[in-house]
Amino acid sequence: MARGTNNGGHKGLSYTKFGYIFIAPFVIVYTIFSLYPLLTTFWYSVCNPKSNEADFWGFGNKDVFYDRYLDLTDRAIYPDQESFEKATNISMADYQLIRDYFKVQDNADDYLSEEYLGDIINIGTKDNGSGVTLSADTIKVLEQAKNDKSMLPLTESYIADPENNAYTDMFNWKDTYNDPQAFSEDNVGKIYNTLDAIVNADASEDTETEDNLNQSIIVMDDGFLDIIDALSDDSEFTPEQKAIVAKIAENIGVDDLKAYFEGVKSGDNTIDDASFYYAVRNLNTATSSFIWEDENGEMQKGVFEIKLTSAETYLQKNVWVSTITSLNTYSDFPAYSTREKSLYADKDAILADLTTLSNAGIITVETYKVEGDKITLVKPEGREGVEYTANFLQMIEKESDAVLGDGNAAIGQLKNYYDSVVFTDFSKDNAPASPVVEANNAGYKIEQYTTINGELDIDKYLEYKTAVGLKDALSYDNYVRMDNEMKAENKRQAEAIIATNYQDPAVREYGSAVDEELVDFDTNVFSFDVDKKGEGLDDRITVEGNTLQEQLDFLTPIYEDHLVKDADIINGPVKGDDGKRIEYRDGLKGCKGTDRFQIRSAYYDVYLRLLNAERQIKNPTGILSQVDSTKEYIFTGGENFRLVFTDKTTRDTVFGSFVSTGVLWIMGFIPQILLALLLSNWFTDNRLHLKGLNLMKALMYLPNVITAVTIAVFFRRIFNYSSGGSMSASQIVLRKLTGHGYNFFASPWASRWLVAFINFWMWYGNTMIVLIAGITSINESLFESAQIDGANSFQTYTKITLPLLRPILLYTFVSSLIGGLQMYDIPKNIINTSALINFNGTRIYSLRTVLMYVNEIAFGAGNNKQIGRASAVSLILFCVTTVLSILIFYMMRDKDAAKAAKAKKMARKAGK
Amino acid sequence: MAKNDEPKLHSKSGQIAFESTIVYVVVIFFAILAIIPFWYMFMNATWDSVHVQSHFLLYPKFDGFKSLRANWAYLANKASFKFARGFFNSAVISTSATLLTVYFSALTAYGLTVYQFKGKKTIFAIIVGVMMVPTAVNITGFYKLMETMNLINTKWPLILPAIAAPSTVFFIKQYLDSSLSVEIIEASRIDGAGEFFTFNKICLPIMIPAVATQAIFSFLGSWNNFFAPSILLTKTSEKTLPLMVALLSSDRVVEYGAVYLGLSASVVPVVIVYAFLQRFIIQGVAAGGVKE
Repeated sequence: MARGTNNGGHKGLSYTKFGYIFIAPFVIVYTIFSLYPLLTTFWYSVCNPKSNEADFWGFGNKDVFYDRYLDLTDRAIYPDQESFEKATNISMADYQLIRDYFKVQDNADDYLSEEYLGDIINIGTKDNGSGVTLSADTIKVLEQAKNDKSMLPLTESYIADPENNAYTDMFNWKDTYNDPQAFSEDNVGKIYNTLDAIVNADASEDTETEDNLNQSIIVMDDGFLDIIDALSDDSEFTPEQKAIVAKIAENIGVDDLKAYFEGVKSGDNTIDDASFYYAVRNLNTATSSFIWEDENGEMQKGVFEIKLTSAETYLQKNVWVSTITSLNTYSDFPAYSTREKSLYADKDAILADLTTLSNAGIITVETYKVEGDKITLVKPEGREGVEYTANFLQMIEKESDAVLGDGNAAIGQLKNYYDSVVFTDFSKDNAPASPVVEANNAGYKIEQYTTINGELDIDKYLEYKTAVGLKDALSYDNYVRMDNEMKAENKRQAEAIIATNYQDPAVREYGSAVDEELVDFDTNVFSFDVDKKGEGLDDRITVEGNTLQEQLDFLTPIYEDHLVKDADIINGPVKGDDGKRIEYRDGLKGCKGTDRFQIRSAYYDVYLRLLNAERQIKNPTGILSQVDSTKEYIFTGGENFRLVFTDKTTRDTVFGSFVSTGVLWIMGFIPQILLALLLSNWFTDNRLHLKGLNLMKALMYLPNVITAVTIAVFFRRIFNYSSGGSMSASQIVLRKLTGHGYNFFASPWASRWLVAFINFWMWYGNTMIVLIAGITSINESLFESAQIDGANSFQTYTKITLPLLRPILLYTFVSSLIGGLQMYDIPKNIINTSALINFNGTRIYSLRTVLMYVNEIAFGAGNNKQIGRASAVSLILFCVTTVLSILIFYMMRDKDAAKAAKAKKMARKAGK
Repeated sequence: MAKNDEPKLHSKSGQIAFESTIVYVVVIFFAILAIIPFWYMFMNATWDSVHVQSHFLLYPKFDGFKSLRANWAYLANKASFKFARGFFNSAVISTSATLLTVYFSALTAYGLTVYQFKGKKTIFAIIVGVMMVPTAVNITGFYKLMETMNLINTKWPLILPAIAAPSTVFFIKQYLDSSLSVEIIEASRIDGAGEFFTFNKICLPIMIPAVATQAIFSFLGSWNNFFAPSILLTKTSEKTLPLMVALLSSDRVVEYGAVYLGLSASVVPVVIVYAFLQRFIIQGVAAGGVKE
């Protein structure tokens, strides 16, 4: 068996380096794609990033981190100035300077960058044909700001004279600058240059110029996306619109068009043909199509289609190259590009040029007449020509906007920045305090310390912090001290609440009763009774009483009167039963559903406050945990693990998901292993002479190879619940058999059984095959000797087969458990958010497995992601699976020897 | 003794016949249970949604595939589904990943079997140790890495890691230990062949049985993979087939006929492959459990 390796020993030595070479790819890839991410996950678990984009802040400068992300003026932390100053030993006014700094800096980070200023300088110094450029002073200010990366020059000029400063200058300039004519001409120049480049370029550069050509012409707007949306759903179109689409489709091919539209929608395709854009845009705004007088003097409606054939097409045909070359002779095209001639000066001339381009095959100018669903081509003649010349210019103008975009955007961002941190309206006396002005008044030029290179300059900030005299007062030690004081205070308050209000044990009793019932209430009553939701909202019950105890005294009788008494209506007959539901609704008339809900939730609130107070006593919250770390995060040590293991709600949610996973697994595994044992015994039983076993084995294993997602979706759909209309298979059958349907997904246990069944159904075939292999590998003579000794088949099975199968059973068990812990595909695709279950007092989703939980908090919707906690939970899962893997490793290591030893032992035992 | 023997024998064979009948009934029941969902799926794919929603159907609709085509048109026209695209993406990812897995696993296993070098035992022990550790636990780190490398919404994160597949290395090494004789390699060396030539042209063909089995499982694993793609692929055009199928679970898709057609479309290729390869697959499963 091991002959190959042993003999290879001495000879192999000289080939050592090949050993390393051969395993190198594996080691490298494993290191990059498995070990490194695992280390990152370890790292995340000791940090607290709240988004996938968050970067590590560093081990040092923790005080700066909290200065930046922890706003102590937040009323939720310190309710008033007095408590703030008492806790921090800093005057509110001084501290406000810190907040002002970060307001200015964060807005600079959000709105400004060196690149933006560069854009403005670039465009502002260039004469755009209108003769207006930015003033030399403004450019100077911009250059200065760009070079020392501080906003000081820009804001100083703004504050000194709001009427006459760099910013106002830029804004005025922008208005004159935004002249479409100048830019249209610029763009014609661009097209010309591109064409010129195509003619003169090396073959290798073709692709690049082709891209330029495509991109310089096309603009996309939102209306286009809407149209594509509508197109793919085939909703209402006018015959005209359909005809136009059909016309385009005729040129391009229907399938291609469809694929193309969808590609554009998903962002795969760029719009590389102007005609698509143009025609489809006209679909959206029917009025934008033109009206003209035909030869009979009647008014006609038409739509333009102007087509710029793709660069690729004419590049393929050499003949076009010479055509383009001859353009120089036949048209004034080059003159537009150098601005010797204005596009707008002589519309007849540009029509002639366009016709030349059209004849050359570079652009197609066609006018279509649309009548009902008929389209006829109208030759470009006379005034129609002028019309579409204008349209061509329009397209170029749109393009101009896009080109202008950079400069516009930069000035717009600058405006945003000013709006956010400097006065926007100097004429008003009561204008809101601006950080820049405030700091100026206090004698600190904040702008001097902020930077526009897109990120906080810590050194500059520290300079500022020293300047305002808060360097020592706002140290990290101080933050920690405040955190501890806040924790102590929260704890004290919680104890006070409990001491004064919650002596009555009935509170908890009622609370947890509601807790249990709320689950049913939410899922069964509130979800289907949506039409009743609006009712009674106006006359909600106002809870009377100031202290919690008074409120409780007020609520308890109502609760008992209206809710507990008809608990049988709520809990009993509701679940998906039409007849009973009507009965329930009749019962509801006595007391409006929303009122019940209000009372219930108010009562429940009181109970929640009790829980919250208890939680505060156990794990008081401080100030440091309230930091927003969506962008940056710092090292937090064991905080995530502490939360997972000690915070009740977190712990319940995490371990609830572990328990759910385990429960789902065990519910599927027990029937799976039992059936596999039974079937494998039958299949290996020679006495039975079974035929067609291979086919049966193959069929039973089949579900295991099918995509789990498909199976989950299938079960989700056939067990779906709806009261009428479209019914799923299970409901059709149930209604036939019992007369009414059943909502499997409203019940936590029904949905768990469903998942367990799928797991069982997918995996018993696999287990069976493994066990059959195990049984066949048992020495036949053992069975024979047992038979000779008079053992019946049951005895043979329990005394020989099972003990010898034990290692394989153990292997199956552990590997199935490891697999079960990763359960994701099936519950994820079956999940329904309504099936909640009570775990240790916390409500959790009955089908949420560990990986689903990790996935939800790390990649779910929303900004506030808990990557750190997700990583901590992943690592717990990692540890569990590693321990189980080691177990398997030991089981497999000395398997032959262990097996032989066991077999001997068993044989001896059986022999007795 | 002979007297007593006959009736006893008779009753014994009767008992066996009885037992066999029970076994057949149970076995056939489970065999039907294994295929009935797929049968239901296939049959309902041929019906229009109105019928599917109101009847429990186990036979196809004979209308010249009109409803089937209508269902397909619905699936094909929905901008969010793109089954053909999903199929293509899945095929590209699975094929590339499988090729990488088997080739590099064979290479690694060969390196670990044939050559003697320092740390060899440790490396093999680590490979066996991490074999069962799921890749899902490092997903947060993996996502961040892919984000840094700009590989989100590309196929690479699902293809490249396939080069390092510890369990495949383990199984191929088990096979090599028992069936690769070192004389072949030595003979090849004497003939002047390079090490890579020996591996590619001489030893790789020897490994074919093990490699083929591993290829099947690697392909199925990659084809059915859902967890990592669901996190890494968010663009419709990049989504794999399981992700497309997952979209069908939404209650808002009420075209049941189309839903079953979509599910069938994802099942049929696997069933066809399975029909041809089931013997090898089942042998592979059996070997995996016993691990000789």
